Amino acid sequence: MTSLIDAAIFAGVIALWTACTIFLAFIAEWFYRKMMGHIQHRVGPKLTGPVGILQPLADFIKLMSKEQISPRGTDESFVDFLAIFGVWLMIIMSLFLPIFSTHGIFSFHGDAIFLLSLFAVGSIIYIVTPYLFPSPYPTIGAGRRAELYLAYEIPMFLALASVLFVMRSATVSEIIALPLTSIRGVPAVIILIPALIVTLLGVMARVKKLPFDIPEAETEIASGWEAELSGRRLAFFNLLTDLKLLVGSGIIVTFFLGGPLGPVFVVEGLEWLLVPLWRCFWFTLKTFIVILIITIISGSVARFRIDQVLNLFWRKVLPLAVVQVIIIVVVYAL
Amino acid sequence: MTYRVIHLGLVEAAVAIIVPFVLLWIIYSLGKVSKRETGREPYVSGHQFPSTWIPYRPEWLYYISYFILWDIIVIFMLFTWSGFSPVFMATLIILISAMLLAVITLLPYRRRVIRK
Repeated sequence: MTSLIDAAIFAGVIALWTACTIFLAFIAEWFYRKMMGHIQHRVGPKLTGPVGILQPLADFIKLMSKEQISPRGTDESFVDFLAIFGVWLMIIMSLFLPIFSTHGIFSFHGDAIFLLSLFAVGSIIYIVTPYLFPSPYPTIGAGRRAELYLAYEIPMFLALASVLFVMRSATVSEIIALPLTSIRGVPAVIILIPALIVTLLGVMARVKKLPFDIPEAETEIASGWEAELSGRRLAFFNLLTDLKLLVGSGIIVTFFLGGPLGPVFVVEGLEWLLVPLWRCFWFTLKTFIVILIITIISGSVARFRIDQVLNLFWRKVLPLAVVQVIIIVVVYAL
Repeated sequence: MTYRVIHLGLVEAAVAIIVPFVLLWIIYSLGKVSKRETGREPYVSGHQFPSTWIPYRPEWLYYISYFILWDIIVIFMLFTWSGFSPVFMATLIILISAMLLAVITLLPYRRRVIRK
């Protein structure tokens, strides 16, 4: 009976976590749009809620109430499944992030590897879904997405593997100590700056932010992979993109910026409450700083052509990631 | 600094996996269900799209993407091989899920794209 009550309480916690993660994803989208507006000398969202903070939620509700249109011959049930599966995957990934503590709700030895595996699976959804529509625009968008995936996945994997090599661990609760680590007197974060740049570019390509939004280039291929999405499907795929931005930034914070580590000021007797809140504060602050950096880059650079993106990742970013691995090997060999 | 590593029980893990999926399924079901399959506007559904020439064979990108995904997961499994550790079992489950996903999507994919 006690275990049943415990399981029920745990289910309530997970339900609350799901709601909070989705709401935080909406906040992240609002932050991105607001900052992008400032960069482009626009106002950005401002009407719904204080300073327009509820605009993404309003957009979600609006899309959920709109008619669902799809071409004849679409695999309806499988598109519906992938829409739910993608969002679910991101929420499961958020359970691994060390937000309130030095470890996530899911935590075991080697969980960082599992986290990266889930992140790789998430990208496949963007390639599979458009192929389920018998329309040329999603097909071209999916092809571009696959080319982009091939280009950024390998350098990003090498960059994140560099962190694992330096920390000699694949566990999130140990990786977050990177800012406190030094290699032969040099802070490890400085040695890993190329890996940080590669990962940042990889996350931007993964969430299809400018200048890497070629799979959905509106002016070229009519929104590409999402051309045939509408109604609740579009709402869920937009939510998936927001969650990817949030979780991708959280992964950068976890691997490079110390996760929830930061100054903690507590009152005696209230440590049980204040310490997790401070951890959550530092993790969220760092995550939104990463989102701000992504926004500034997105707002400053025009969209690349497909050949320019592939050129960038295969000829510049991949060698940079390889150089990063060589640097680490040399530093440890000396 | 000391770090604590927790191990969730099977029940908690199952709850954490099932509850978000059920919640999302409920939210998704609240959306408007009525569908329209015909339309006359350009670029929206209802059209019988003509065959489109694509300047490359997209199926190769599809297969290579899956290959890279499996490759990464298999490398992870090799790195983490130390008996039946939780991470090994978890990556094994992901690998099997990804392969099932590939098999399920292969049929509509071949029908809709390769013959296009």
